Amino acid sequence: MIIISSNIVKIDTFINEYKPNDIEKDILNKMDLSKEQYEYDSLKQLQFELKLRNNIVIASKKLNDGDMSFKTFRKSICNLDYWDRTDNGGFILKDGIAPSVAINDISINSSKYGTECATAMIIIYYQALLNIFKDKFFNNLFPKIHLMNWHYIDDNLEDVGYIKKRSDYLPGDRRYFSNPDVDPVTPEWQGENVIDLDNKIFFGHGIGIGNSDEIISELNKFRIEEAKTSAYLLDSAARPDFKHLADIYYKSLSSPSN
Amino acid sequence: MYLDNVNTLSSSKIKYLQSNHNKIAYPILKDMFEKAISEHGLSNEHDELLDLTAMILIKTHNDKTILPTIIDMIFFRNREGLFTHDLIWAFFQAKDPYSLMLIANYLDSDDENDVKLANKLLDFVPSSDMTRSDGGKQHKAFFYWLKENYHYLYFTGEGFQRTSNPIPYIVALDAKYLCKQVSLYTGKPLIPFTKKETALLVYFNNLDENSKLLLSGCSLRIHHQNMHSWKSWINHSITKQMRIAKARLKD
Repeated sequence: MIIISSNIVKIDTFINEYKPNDIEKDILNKMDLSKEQYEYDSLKQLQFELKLRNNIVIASKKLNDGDMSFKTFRKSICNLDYWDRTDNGGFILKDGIAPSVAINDISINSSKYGTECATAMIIIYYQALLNIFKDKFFNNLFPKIHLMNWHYIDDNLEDVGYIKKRSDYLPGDRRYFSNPDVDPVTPEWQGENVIDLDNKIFFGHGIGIGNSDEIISELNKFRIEEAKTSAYLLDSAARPDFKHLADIYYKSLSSPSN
Repeated sequence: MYLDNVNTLSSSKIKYLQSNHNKIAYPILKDMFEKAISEHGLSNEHDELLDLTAMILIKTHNDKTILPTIIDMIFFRNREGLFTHDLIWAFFQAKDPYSLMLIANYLDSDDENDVKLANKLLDFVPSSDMTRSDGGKQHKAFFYWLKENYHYLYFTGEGFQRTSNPIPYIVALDAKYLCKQVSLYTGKPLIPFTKKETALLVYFNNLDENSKLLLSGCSLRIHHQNMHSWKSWINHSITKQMRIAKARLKD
């Protein structure tokens, strides 16, 4: 059920703004049929969430199509023209470089980048936001970027680090496959962070796009000998604070400086 | 086969270990780890070899004797801005709640970086005293929390790859309420709940989280003080149990 300004909303009043195969349409239908109450202050706030979710999916597919390699944090690589690599395996935006330019470079020069699945997730969020925000606003909002894992998330994105049980799982959610019997020599396969691409298909950096059986099968290849427990998909998801991001986005549109 | 015969380069040893670690005997791995400690922090490749050896010793050979060394390595690297991700994972994979005291020892370190990391690693502890700014008091609070909950903790496997606030151990509040020790690996009681205990849990499990915390803590304290009083208390209605627990809290 969708509630806007305390009123239950009938989606047929605006769902036709989306084309039949649009991800937004599928998300709206799922929200509408859900027992969960999806509450918003305005229609714009809801539309922003739909747009960002769609762009998270688009950014995931784009990253999958690119040449960014899978590397452990220890062996991670980045384009040193735009990023400084830390000893911890993360990437910090270089002084004097516009954040939007550096984030775009990850797609343009994808073969110069290699990292683990968690960093890939953070990159996807930034690329999705950059698809929506104007460069100037993006650069003001994220003047310092540190790409690694959930340790170093910008305050505006901190919710993507908190994974918890949800009533529904929607395209654009970050999900996690756990691999408890992972071989100790391949700790990078202790699990896989993925983005829900819709229709029970996921993208995980290092594995690619596939359904849950395919991702589990891949993770199971990296278990200890005589492993007893299969990898599995957790009944939980992480999401950005869509409403917060929508509010700052619409505020920026009304500001002449942006 | 002794690894020194493979090649003196760390990179060769790493490759050999990755492919053959199941064939290497525990004493050889342990010896290798101990010899490598002296050069810890000198090169990324050498540290990778150390991490790999540590992960095998902990996860394959269940070696907990290296945990004090591991924790010192983690805090050293954190101070130096070096790679800690795999070692932190390996440390928690030991599935040893007592080892958490090794982290707690850094809560009152003179180095701000140590304190920050210790707080981050122990952030899952639901004790209000852990939010104090006094490291000594935090250390004491953690000690008492661990002492109280040790028999009811179970390992979840959560780590920093999954979430920014991993909860590696959870207290099985239902078991604590009935004062029955749980398996560290499953969270299930070592001796299954009786029919009577299962019936008691029907009421307990319907309570909100704060009430469960209050009641399980109170139950354990009464149990420790006087078994006869506990048997009497646990047979009261859940409403009366709550009333007694709240009254004891005020005392």
